[in-house]
Amino acid sequence: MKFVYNRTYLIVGALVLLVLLSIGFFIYTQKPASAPQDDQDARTSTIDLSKIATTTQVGDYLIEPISSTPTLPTPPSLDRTVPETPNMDSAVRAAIILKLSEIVATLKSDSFSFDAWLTLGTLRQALGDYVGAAEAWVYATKLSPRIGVAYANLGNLYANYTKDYPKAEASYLKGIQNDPRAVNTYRNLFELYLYSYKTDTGAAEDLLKTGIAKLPNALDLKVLLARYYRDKGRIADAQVAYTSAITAATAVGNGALTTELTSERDALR
Amino acid sequence: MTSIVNNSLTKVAALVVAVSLVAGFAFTFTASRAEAATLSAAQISSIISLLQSFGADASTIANVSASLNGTAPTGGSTGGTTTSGPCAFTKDLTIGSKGADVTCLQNALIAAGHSLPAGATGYFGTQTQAAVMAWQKAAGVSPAAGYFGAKSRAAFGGTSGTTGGTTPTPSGVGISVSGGTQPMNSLAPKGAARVPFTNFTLTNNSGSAVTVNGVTVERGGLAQDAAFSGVVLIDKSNNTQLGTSKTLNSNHQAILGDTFTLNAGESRTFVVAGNMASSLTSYTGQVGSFSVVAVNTTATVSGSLPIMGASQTLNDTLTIGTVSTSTSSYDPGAAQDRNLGDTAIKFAGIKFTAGSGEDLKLYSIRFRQVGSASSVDLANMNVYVDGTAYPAVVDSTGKYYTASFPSGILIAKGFSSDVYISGDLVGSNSASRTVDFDLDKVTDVYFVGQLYGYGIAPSGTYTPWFNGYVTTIRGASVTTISKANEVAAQNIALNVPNQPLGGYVVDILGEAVTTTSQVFNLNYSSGAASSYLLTSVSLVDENGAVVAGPVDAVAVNGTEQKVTFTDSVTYKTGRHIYTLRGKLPTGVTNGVTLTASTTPSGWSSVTGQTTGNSVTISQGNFSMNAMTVRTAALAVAVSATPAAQNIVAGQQGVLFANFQFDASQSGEDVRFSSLGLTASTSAALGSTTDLTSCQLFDGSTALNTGSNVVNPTITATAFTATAATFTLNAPVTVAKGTVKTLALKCNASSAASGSLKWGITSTQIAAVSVTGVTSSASVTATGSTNNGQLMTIASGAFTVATDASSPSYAIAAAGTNGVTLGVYKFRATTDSVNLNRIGLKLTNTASSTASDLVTVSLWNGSTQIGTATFVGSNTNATSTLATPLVLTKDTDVTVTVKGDLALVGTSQAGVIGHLIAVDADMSTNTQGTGVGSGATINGTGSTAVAGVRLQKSYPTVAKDTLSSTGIGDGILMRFKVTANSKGDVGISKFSLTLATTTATVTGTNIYAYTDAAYSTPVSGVRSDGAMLATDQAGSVWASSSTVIEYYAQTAAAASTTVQVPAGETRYFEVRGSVSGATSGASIITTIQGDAAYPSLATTFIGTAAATDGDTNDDFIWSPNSSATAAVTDSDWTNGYGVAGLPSAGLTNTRGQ
Repeated sequence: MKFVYNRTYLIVGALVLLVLLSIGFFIYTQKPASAPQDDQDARTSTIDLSKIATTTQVGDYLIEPISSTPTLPTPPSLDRTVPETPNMDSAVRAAIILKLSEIVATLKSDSFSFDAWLTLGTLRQALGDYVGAAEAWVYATKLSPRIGVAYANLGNLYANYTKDYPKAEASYLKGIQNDPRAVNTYRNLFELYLYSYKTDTGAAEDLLKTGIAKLPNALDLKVLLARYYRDKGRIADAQVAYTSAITAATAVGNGALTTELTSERDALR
Repeated sequence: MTSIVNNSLTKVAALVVAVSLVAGFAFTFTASRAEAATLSAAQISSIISLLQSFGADASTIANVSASLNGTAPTGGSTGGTTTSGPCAFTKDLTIGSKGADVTCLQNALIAAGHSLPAGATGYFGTQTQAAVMAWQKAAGVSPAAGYFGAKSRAAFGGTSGTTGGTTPTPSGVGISVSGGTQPMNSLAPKGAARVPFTNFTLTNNSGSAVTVNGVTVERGGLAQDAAFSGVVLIDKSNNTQLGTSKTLNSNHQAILGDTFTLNAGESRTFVVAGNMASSLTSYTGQVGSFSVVAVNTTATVSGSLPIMGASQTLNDTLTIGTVSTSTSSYDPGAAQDRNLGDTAIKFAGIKFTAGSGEDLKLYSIRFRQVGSASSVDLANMNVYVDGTAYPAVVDSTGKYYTASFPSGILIAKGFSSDVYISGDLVGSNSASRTVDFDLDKVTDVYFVGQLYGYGIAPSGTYTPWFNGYVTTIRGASVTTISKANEVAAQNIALNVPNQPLGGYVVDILGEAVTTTSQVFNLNYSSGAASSYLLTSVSLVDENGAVVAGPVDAVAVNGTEQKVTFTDSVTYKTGRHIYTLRGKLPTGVTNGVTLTASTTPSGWSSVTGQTTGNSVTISQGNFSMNAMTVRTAALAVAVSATPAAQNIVAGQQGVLFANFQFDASQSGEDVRFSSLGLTASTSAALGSTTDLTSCQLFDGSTALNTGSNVVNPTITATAFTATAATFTLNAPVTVAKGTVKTLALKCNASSAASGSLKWGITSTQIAAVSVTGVTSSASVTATGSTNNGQLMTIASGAFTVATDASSPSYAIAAAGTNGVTLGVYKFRATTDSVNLNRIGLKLTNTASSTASDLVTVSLWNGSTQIGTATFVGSNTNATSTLATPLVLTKDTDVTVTVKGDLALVGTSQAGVIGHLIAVDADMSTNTQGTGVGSGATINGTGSTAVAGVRLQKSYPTVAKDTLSSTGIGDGILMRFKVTANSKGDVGISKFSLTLATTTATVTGTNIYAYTDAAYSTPVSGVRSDGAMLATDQAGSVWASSSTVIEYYAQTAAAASTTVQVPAGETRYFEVRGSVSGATSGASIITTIQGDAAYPSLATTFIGTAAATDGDTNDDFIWSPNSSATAAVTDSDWTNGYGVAGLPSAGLTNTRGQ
């Protein structure tokens, strides 16, 4: 039995093959040499479309490159109204507003400046513009999602100023995920758990234990854990934790702290 | 076969003709008993059985039977009308039927307990249909389809009629016996109880009661006696069984019903029913019947016998429902004693559980009371079924208590019902009698299966089948008469009425008892009682009501006294307290005790109030709590509290002393209205008027107000005493047996100083005018001088210190908000303080500026209490608290200081490497107000927080996992460096020390990798990742203290850096050539940390070389503040404060 090739089919098949090869080549040429780094500034991952052939024609088919412009959200407004701050010293307010105007000018010329967005959030928070602060820091996390500080700042904002505790917890945890040894973030999240959120759970204790495991030399976390146990009436646990803190205080030569902690431990009953 | 058929047909035809003739003539003639007697009973029975086998309806059979027996036939069915009870049914009734017959049916159904919500409307609708179905099920009419046809009419006559309807009731002297509408022919399944065979009615036509000594029945039909486990007689009026179940004798007869009485004019209808054997395998298909052949009585009996009803076909295949029993949880469970008068006593309880065969309905239960109590000893007898009470009707014998449930109580299959009998004990002479409720026979409970309609009985052969526990009726008995501790030993006063003299408790069971005379002896502990006789002595119950007396005591035996109550005193059942009260004469010696006693066994005429029985009290003499005779008395003292302490100048209402007035040794309440107190100075007072508005308080009530408020003029000189008199608005009363405390409070002026005590002297105590409240006797207060506790007037103060939880030194990423910079611990002494403002200062002004911090916030727990901003070149800032922070006296209060860190780098406000330490500024900038004094108070003390080092980014170091053995492979240690996510970190230098045991190591180097597998060397250094272009020669190591340095170098030995990208980790391996790695060999490798920040006073950050020139130069790294730092850039620092790398280093021990 002899196969009879239909010429039309052959032509179409060849064209399809060509199209596939072209697409493959296109993808190959766009693939970075190594895996993309998430922490790269978003702008550095922009693909320069000018270097890519805009059309490739094979036979009757037209292949067009798909736009790969990064999908960054629109930057938040830089022209927010500064809230009144009746309790703030006028000189302080003036100084902060001056810094605010400078940073806004910076961002208007370079909206990709992570540091500028970070500072903008800080200044807005200082002026009581919590919505604006959140906008700035959230945008900073979009620009550099693997940097922990913007998350930590958001956690602080949500925990202490807007009182949105679930969001505060999520932000702190993201900050810790990015910077597992940022002692201050542990401390702030511990305070959230201790005073405001999930207060009846073991979250505060678990967090301190995690922090101490990650930061064995963080003496203050050990003190916080010892006092946490003491205040919960868990005397045996408090004894152990105080002893650990006293050992650490002694190791760094902090005699006064050693004495104070020893006194607190001795007062347990 | 043909002949047989023909023969049979012939016989049948002949018989039909014969029967028809008989039936037809039966309407016309009343055959005489003599004529009927030409047929034997057996022959008549055979004819009837044959009729039944043809399916003749009951009325026809009854008429034929009556004719053959020579009795009067009924109207029969030929006329087309069945008189069923009061109703005349002329047609079948079903859905849609209307008329008087429907109305009559409905009324009958309602009367029988069936639900017809719409009432008797005359219309046969769905409600009537449902009621008919229910009735058919109950009456055994099958199918129970709600269609009221011939079967139903027949059955209806037998169940709802009271006059029978098919057999006229003879009349005459004595009693008459007659048949009635008979049960339907059906099946008699194995195990079925009370399968109905024959109905008959006995009527007492005489004018007096007639005793019937049973009814003789005889089995007929083609069946065997053994198929019946027993034959019973059922009273249809209440579905109860008369007498016991009987078996048949050799004549196939049994006498049923034991002995019962028919009252004059009474007519009762009975059913002869069979209890079927548990297995009918050998008898299945047999057809049995029972005839009433004799009524055993001395009275004349009229009527025709035998009377035969249905013939039932024995069946071994039909499995009917079952019921099992157990003791109910309501059963007393043991013999019990109950008091006469007790109500709702549960005497016996049983639990019935329906088997899985079919639902059951309980129609009646009959208990037999076999105890010695009579029925009049019991009242309110009820049978409770699942908590619902049904009257238990006692029969004429007074022994059988029957509860009937006309509509039946459903017990769904598999479910249970608790049944118990309950009642009250009321018999006036029933003490010691017993109540014992049994169930004699299993057939004393009457269940009907709801699927097949047969009677069902529990299994059991004993008599009694259910043997209840005995309840013994308890008459009056005295369980306790004794001293009542509720009437405690106490002080009693002289010449005061109603003084408690003693108390006793009486606990009576069964019934109240009355006594007509009681004697109580009352004697003093010393002295002749007869000389000081009590008067107006009463006996008082717990409600204060006088139950006996008052009477006066009389002398007996010269030195004793007694009171005799001749009142009739009734002691109620239960435990009750009685108190003797009376008046003691003056002259009784203070401190003497008075003891009351009595001898209950000597009380007269103790009688039960219900039974009238005489009650014996065995309790002999007992004494009540002794009362102590006390004259009015009051002791005065100064409490030990408040202890000596500091008080605050300017404080209002300061508690100086508590004075105690003790009337615990007084026989009566006492009162006084003024008091002299003494102020004794220690340190000289500021002025004579340092204290004002001195008042005595009873709790929160000021006792001297208005013009009675004392503004003492106290001699200010040290160690002087000043007396002051406190006149109270109204006399204060101290109840006998109590201690009252009065608090002395004064206001201290804001200028007050010095120290003093408030107390009372013995002279002042003796001068207090105290009076007995009841007796009005004058009392001399007792007590000795007590100057009280020293109160030192001082000013409020508070201090601050670094709290233990204040953070350790740490490196922080610039731009971070809410960084805890320090925790301050405030503590107020002498007086609580409202902290109004907190001063802050940048401690390390040489290495920090205001611009490093955007703002600072202050927190107490989760509450923000203030903010502060360091402006311009200021190194001080003050936070004025929106709401004052309360520093409670002698309590630590912590304040957390958090900072928002500025950014660092080119054009940024923060300075790289600055150490930001914010401490409390305890000049006048930290200030509060004394809560008590209102004075402005400046804080003292200081803080010394560790501070945070401001960097753009920073590294953390951690040891990586490595097996503890295998040193021969040359790997000494693995560790990793992670950059903060804020930015890349550069590494210029590591340092390490080595300590070896047995082994020798040379040619060490540190190799850097990008992966945790230690397989991909970092770029920029030697191709294998080694930091040093040339391995360290063994000669550089002299001892375990030799610090060996490893700089990042290119392969050509030029200085370079190892970069750790932001948020990423680089892995380092210390490696060398190890020899002598024998057993026991080990090498301790320590990556060195730095103990202090480098001395870079002006720039706080320097070149790698500059940092390397510092004393602390073991780990050199760069935060890459502006760009990736070359070693020559001024962007390098050391390892001080790097998390994970303590100054003592990071150590790893590895052996062979």
